[in-house]
Amino acid sequence: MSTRSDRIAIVGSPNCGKSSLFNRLTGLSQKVANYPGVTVEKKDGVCVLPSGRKIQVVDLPGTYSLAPRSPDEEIVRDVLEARPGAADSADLVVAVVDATNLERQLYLALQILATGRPSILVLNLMDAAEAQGLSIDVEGLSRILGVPVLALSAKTGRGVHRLRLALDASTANGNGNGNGNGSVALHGGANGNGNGHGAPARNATPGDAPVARAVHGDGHGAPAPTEALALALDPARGYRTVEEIVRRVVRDRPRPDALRARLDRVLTHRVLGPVLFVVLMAAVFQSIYAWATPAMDLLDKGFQGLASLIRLGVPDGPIRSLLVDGVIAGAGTVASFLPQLAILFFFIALMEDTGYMARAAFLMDRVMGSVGLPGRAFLPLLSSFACAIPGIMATRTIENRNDRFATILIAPFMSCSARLPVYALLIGAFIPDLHFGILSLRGLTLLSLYLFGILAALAVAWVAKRTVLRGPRPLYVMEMPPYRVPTIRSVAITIWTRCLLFLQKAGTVIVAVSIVLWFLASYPTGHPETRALRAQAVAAAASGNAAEASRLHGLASGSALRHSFAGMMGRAIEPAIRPLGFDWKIGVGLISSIAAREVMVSTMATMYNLGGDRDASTSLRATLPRVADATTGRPLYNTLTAVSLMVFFALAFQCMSTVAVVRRETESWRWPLFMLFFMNAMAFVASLLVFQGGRLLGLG
Amino acid sequence: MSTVPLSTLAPGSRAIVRAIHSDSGFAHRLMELGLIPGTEVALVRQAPLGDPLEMVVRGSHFSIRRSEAERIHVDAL
Repeated sequence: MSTRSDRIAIVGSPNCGKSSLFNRLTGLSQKVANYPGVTVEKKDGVCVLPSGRKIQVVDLPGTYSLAPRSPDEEIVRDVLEARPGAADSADLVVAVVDATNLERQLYLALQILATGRPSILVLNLMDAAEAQGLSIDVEGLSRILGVPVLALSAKTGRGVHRLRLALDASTANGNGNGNGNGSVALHGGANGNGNGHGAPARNATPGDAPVARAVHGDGHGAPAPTEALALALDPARGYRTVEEIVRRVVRDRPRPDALRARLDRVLTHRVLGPVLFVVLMAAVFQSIYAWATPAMDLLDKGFQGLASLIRLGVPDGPIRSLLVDGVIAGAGTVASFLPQLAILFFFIALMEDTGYMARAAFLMDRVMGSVGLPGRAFLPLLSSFACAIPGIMATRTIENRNDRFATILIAPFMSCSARLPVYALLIGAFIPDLHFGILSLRGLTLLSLYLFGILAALAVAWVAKRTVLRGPRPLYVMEMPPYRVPTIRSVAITIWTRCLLFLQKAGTVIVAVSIVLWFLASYPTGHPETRALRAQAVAAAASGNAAEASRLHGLASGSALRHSFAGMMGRAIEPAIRPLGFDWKIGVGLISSIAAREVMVSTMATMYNLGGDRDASTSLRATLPRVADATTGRPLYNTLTAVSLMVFFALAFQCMSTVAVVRRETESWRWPLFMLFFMNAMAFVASLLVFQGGRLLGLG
Repeated sequence: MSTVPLSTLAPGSRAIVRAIHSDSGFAHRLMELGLIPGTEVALVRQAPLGDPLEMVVRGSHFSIRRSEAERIHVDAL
């Protein structure tokens, strides 16, 4: 018996339908992770074979060549050249090509086969090839290449069972032989299975090197990796061989893709193209901004229900408080992102799988290129106006590392929906309700905050691309795949794996930080003032005076928060934020906004004894302008304070969930810590300039 | 017949690749995609703002920036 499970690797170029084959073989068992040290995604899954055996399947990144020029391609090469039995190795390589375009796809396949690893060649998208009137001599191709060749359609599932049978036979024999020569095992397995199916055929005897011969035109089998490298280094020779093979196995020329021509004429049209793009983007934005709300409310109600259940079952005390205000609050925060994530990844999967994403990038490349970003950065940045979490996760559609990191770096500057309650509170309380014709000063203030965030983002992108993310401008050349009908299965798997990834990798960090914040706001307990207020509240409730009891409860909560660690921290940071116009109570609010920016509002309400309930914002709006400075008696906050605070919120990197997701997406703490430092430094300096400058102008 | 940069072709026209004037990395990547001297290439369209361009090589469509297409020299057909 083998001591480890068999592993197969799926290799192919982008757009060959590699991932849909992977989805077919592994279904929901797949796991997405990163390769150690790099941000290249590693997709693993388990495939159950007809015999009932399970094998490991790894979906390698799409690549055009084995000559490595990017981290993705290095990973493919490493796996293909690893010695059998090494930790990240494959017992069998499944090379996938798009059957509709063998002339371009076989070049990579030749390189893969030339490594000498035991391989099966899969002609995918056979349904599309047949629809185009292509006819491919599958057995002839197998004879020329010296490996089993299977024609199938991962999308419809036709022929996939034969691949499973072939995998079953070849990997089983590979273990049984124990001679370490997988290709011999593959040979036997394929023959044993091939009867009646006709497809997996291999007529070469073990030891000869038909691929090398096909490529070389001579009889010497050169050492395998060298041959693969030689092919990779000489595309001209590789393509000559491919042309010769295609002449021999492909009958009939394909009909031109009429659907593609028709759709492209509209979707990339000079006027219609951009218009349709804007309409689609508006729909995406509207759905994550507004249509996700009912689902988020429902989840919120669910977590509130859970909290009520715990209140019923667990006696009042530290445990109940930890569960309700720490654990459930954190889990609720995590869950609240899921509707937006699911909707955004639904659209992304749809756009990627239909081929529209490549057209959108084509349309937007010039616009985004003016700030040094690729066309594909548009959607992640747009999504970040709803929330930076799905936005940052959506940067996965950007291949180039520097481009992707630049997009992650600026995504939190887009004014997310969590800033809106804070802006609404401060604008409502401090910005006069003036109108200039149809324009209102309050509306203009809000618009300015959005534009301010965008300008800051563009400036940061410009600087970053010339400093920390400097590098040669990546080669842009990108394939524009044919239009294809997406499958529900593949879209659903994308949504599922993305949400799972978020829950596992970012969710845990968010819950942990939430518990820490709960602790800071709840301890130390038992300050005499708080105790006295609580006792009075209980007494008031007992005497039937509900209004008085509620008022005293609000006072007690405020007292508890003011005397907590969070309150002490607010006082400790006051000297630092005083020059921005913020007192220690705002300091406590800033600390609480680490949980989520909108928590600032309920924290301020608690600080001012209003209780933390939902209409707190309305009463707080009336309260804040009336707060007086204890020593001077003048108003503590004014319009200048509010503007300074809003500028701070526009720029600061506060949200722990964003930190967690940046950490997950960049696979290191370096980037989130860097962003924490420079964004908060920017926020500090900008607020300082606003407040001190305003005071110099006599506005304070 | 004169050799001109691919970027100067009118949308809808076809040409034969003659040379890629560039550092070896760029030329090599294009050749891996099948853009080898002697290969037919067609310029399909340009994006609404005039950049990038869409070309067809060996049945595959690619988008390519104008600055990159300037370095591909072709004989128009």
